[in-house]
Amino acid sequence: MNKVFVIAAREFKAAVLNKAFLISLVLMPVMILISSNVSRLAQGWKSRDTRTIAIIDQTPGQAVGAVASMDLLREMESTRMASAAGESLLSGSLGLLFFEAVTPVDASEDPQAALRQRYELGERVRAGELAAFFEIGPASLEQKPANPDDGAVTYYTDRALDRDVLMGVGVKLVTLVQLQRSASLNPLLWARKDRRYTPVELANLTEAAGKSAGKGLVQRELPKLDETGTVREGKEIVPGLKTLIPFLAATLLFFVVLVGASPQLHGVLEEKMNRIGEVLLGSATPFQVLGGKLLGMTATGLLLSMVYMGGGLIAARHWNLDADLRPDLPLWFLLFQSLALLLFGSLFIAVGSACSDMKQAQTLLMPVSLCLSLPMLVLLPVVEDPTGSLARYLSLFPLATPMLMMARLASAPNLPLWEPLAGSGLVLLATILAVWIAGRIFRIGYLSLGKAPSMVEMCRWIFSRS
Amino acid sequence: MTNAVVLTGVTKRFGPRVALEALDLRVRAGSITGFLGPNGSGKTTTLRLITRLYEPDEGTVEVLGSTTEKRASDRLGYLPEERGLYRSMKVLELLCFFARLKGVRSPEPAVRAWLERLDLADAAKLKVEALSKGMAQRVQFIAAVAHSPELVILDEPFSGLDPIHAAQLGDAIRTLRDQGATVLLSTHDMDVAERMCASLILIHKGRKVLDGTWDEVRREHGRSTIRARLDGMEIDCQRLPGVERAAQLGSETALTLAPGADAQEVLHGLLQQGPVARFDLGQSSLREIFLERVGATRMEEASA
Repeated sequence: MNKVFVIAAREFKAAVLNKAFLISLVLMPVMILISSNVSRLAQGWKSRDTRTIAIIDQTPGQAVGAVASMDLLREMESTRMASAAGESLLSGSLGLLFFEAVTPVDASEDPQAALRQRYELGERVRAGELAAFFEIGPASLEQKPANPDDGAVTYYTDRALDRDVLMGVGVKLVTLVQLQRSASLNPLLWARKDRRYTPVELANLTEAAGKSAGKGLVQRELPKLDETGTVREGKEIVPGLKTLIPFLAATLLFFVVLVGASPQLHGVLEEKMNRIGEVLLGSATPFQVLGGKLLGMTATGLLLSMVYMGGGLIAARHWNLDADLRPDLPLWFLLFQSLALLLFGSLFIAVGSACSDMKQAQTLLMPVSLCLSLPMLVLLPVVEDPTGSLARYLSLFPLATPMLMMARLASAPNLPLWEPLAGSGLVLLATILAVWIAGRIFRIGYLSLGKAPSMVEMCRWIFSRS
Repeated sequence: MTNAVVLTGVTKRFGPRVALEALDLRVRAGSITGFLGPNGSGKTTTLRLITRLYEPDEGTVEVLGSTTEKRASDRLGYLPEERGLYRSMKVLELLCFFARLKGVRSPEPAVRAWLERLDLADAAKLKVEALSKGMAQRVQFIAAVAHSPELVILDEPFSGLDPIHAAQLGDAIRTLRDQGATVLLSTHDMDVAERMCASLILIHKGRKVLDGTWDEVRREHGRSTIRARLDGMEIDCQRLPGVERAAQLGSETALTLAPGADAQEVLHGLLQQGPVARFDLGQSSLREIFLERVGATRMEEASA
């Protein structure tokens, strides 16, 4: 047993009495804090954008009073004076969403007039003037509408997922309509600041709302013009693949980098420890060795991506879900996947060539891992608001661009082309810089064994002649 | 081309440490040159400069007539002191990979010929991790020469080899020389250097200590040595003329004479002390020259 303690003491001292342990000790809580707060912070940043949502109330006499009710609800939320009962029924935040009441056109003589009005509103959404628009069906307040579609609240959007609008506005509108339909209450009165409900009243309201015969909330794409110039109603969005595409794309990209690029670190370390590097560098320049490694790794990663992507496409076609897939997405995906592999691959190689063993590498690995995983932490807010300023700025930060730009492309079809192009350009520049830095570190570090270099030493390597 | 490698005024520093200082060095083409020096003398740094793994801080390095940044690497074969092989690759695949890196398009016939020659034909399909140390050593040697380089740099090529395979490798190195290649052989084994090398270069603390053909080195730095034994009595070295150093080797005494000393006078001095049972006259070995030159350099530095 004594020997166990002797070995344990040596192991403990070896683990604790080194710089890596002390750095980890400081960095760990910082990383936890960052990781746990990034999403929350991102939500906070997002709320600074003001967005306008149009509502067409097709009910006779615009009886729902939707815009007035939503304005009142936003005021209540902002002053934090909503009652407990109100909060439970109308959960979510309206943030800085503003509402525009659109008077419905008279469609009695021209049945196409309503569709054209929706198309025009869709154009305003495409232009970024509106975030989305809702239409409250003409029979929404009827207990049993003849056509269930006429009893629905329809949410027109060009995005894959926008929870603020879907949950914050869509669900509230449906609730308002259902409460109005119960005919016993005026939603404006219901939403009054000083009104309190007893549990029995609350249960009755919920039950009345639940007995709705309408379709509730329907989500549709924006109306489009067909080849003949006729306006076509937007396709109904079935929650599923379309919502998942941005997450699947970014997650696949992330995991392929993780699986494809991070083994480069182990490979370079192994070559250093087995002294293969000296033989390789006796035959090829450091740039050739590094370039070969990066190309090999990128090809492996792309093969992995294509296998998964191909499998996904085949499965989507098999279950008739491929209509939701835009043909340009796979091309963007392959571009960003290649750039991410090259960018992070060169960083992993730089870390591997600067260290002599895995213990040393752990410390230098932390910032690289953090840069790789941070985009995943803000993925949800970016997908929900892909054209917002947070999404735009974050996705133009080169280390986050591949994952976030891909997610934005998949969730917002009308993203201005300059944004992914600028993102690709910036990532390309960052990749060239990373490969150059990795090459400089690799050139010296690859032949060095022993103590891990400090940041100052690595900077000296980068700018030294040999 | 008279010289395959020419280093002129080469200085190489690592931070504050000077690894090589104004080093001038020539390796004659078509010869086997021994590159000697104690640990930390700058041998590996010099070899890495020749293979262009390092660039000099000062001076020029000319390899196979080229001083430019563009490497002569494809015409050069390098066996580093610390061996490096991909453990999970098969021997034939690995050797073909290294030969292709050197620009050989169809390396397999040459690789197979070398495997045959070094008794490794049966190991062609084995993974490197399955090889013994001696086998891996020979595989590494093939990796350095399979592309028929004009300059072969070998750093301790015999370490880990049994006498049979060491002799086999020695023959292979001589064959390379006979075929016109220049061989620069770095070693600590003085017997190997003495046996194989036509020329010698000795460096110590980053400076050249001696350089020349084996005959030139012996003529310039060698001493006459005598192994002597008196019948039934010890030799009194103080009374012998021209003896610079003496060491007791069992019952015999090894005497190193000063330059210009006459061995006949030493024999006469011994006869005066008693009956001479053994008297062998010889020349200093490379080991002795090495020890003497390195020791002399240390003493010069200490007195400076």
